[in-house]
Amino acid sequence: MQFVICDDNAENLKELEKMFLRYCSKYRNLSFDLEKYSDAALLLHKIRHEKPADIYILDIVMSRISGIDLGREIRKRSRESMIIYITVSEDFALEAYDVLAIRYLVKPVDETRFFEALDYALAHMQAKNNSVFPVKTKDGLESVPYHKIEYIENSSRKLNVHLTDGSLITSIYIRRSFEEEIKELLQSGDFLCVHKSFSVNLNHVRKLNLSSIIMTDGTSIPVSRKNSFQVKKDYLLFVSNQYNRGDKTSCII
Amino acid sequence: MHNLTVVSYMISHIFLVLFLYLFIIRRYSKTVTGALCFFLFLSLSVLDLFKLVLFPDSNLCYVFVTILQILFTQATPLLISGKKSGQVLFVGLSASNYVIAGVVFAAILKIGTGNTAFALIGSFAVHFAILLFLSVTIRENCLNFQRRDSEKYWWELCLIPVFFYCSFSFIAFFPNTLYDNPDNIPGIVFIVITMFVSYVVVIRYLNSESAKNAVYWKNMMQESYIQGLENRYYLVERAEQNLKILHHDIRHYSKMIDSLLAQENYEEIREINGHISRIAQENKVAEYCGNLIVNTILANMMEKARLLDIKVNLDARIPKEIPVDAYELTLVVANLFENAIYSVKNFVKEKRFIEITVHCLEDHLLIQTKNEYEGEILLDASTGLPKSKKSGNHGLGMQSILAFSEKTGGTVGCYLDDGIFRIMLFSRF
Repeated sequence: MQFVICDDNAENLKELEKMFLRYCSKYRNLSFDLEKYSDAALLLHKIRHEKPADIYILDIVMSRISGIDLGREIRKRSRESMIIYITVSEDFALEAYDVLAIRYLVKPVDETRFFEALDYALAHMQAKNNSVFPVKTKDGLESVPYHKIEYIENSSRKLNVHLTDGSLITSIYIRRSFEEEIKELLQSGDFLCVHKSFSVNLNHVRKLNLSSIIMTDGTSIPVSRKNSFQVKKDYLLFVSNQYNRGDKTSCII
Repeated sequence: MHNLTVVSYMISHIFLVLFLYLFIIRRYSKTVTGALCFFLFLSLSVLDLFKLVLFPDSNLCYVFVTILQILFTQATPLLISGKKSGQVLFVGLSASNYVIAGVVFAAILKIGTGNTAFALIGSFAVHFAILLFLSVTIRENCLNFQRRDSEKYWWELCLIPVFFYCSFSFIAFFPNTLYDNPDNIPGIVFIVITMFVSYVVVIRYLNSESAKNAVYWKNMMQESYIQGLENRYYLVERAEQNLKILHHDIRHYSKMIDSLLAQENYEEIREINGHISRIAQENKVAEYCGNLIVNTILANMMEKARLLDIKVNLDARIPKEIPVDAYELTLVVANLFENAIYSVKNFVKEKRFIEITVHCLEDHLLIQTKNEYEGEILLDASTGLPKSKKSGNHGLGMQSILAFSEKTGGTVGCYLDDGIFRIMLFSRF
């Protein structure tokens, strides 16, 4: 798992690194890669030109480029990367909120809170990466991570698993019903049967029409008329839960 | 004579189905709609054979077949649109009236010239010209009314085509035709003209009414925005006053801290510091999101909720730059917020609770309100959104969310589960 820490204050950077190493020592079975930056411009260049890291720990108030600017740039490239902000003032909470930061920690950083933020990020990343769907193909068993599946089609008792990169995996003949075959996926909550022969990954839905679903790659999937009301409800509840996960700071009057 | 009438009626039926095809928002594909229209054309033509060829002298047959033709004609628009609404019935009734004009014109030409071919060509030309005229002048308005799904006035308006149809029938077709009584020709011509003028006037009036409504809502939004700015101004002014006082007092605090330091009374110093922080905190002007326009309305609505002792859980992620029109977003949020306040304001305190989520980020837009609800909600079958029980229409708030959802390519839905009413709009960019 790739971590990035950025703080233009050398002492704070060192302190954060120490805390991070203490955290890593708790999880010796996991591999952690850490990159440290005291120059936000360098990190900005890396974000723009390289694959985004998994977790960013960023200071907000830095001399040339703020942590919020870095956060915006990260969001342009990846929705999946986690951002934890560390700062001296609470004044940037709204901006941090807008870039979907998972935590906003005020300096001096309390170690328990820091560890809790990392625990949360780690749990989230692992849950996302660990789930795989086994597809029996004529060449053997292929394990496909849930998040890479765009939709599954039941075609002449074979599963056509359409992936987000445009590739297709076709299973051998299935013995059970379509819904039985993909039960695990449906139980994950990310997948929904929208038609007797189609199940879609709700994370990759672009738009829902009355009788079809448009996926992010533009593919149109039919929605059975009798289920259309329930499909819409399930989809809207899914996005509502998706975007209202614990990482919010609400204003209560 | 009968042959002319049969062919003239067939021409009318062709234009009748064309009118229905053009003036109704289709529920099905073009092919299915075309097939429904063709079936109507066939049915009407076959029924004409009974009325005009097989039993031309039977009044009973004429009345019975005409009633059947009316039923077929009025059922088809309902099938095409899939809605049992006043507007669709109005269009169906108007289609019948529109083609009468062509039939009347064919009869006048035949009586005047005695030339059958000329009369048929004239009938075709008049049908075509009127359809062209109506398509240019009122078609778009007519379709817009169906899109807006407003039921107001439409059932009453259906009486206009009904009475015109009765007038035509009794003056030009039954019991005596224009061929039997040519003296009725000037009268029928004036009725036809009156009818078309009425249509244009009525549609334009309805259009201006709905434009007025839109302006009214824009004004309401602007008013709310100005009120929000005003509130904000007073808050800033009050905060400035308090900070001036604090600034003045800071010298005293500083002296007190110096003297307490000398006495090594750190506990007291901590208390003074806490007091200064509290004052500074209290004078912060509430900010709910980074977007000025939306923030102003949110601040105004939050103040309204506070005055009514309603607890609000607001989750607003709206940066300064957003990918949608800020005023349109504000209008939708303000409408939904106001509806939620209205729903819970009379509940007991524990139930006066609203949860609002507004995310408008680069990749998605999510608007959601959740509140307690007592009673039943009337939902529109086609849009899935609540309708007013009084008028049977969508309220203007719902119309604005529907329009915004269409514009942003989103999905909108509302649900009432276990006494919690929830309305959601989601668009992925």
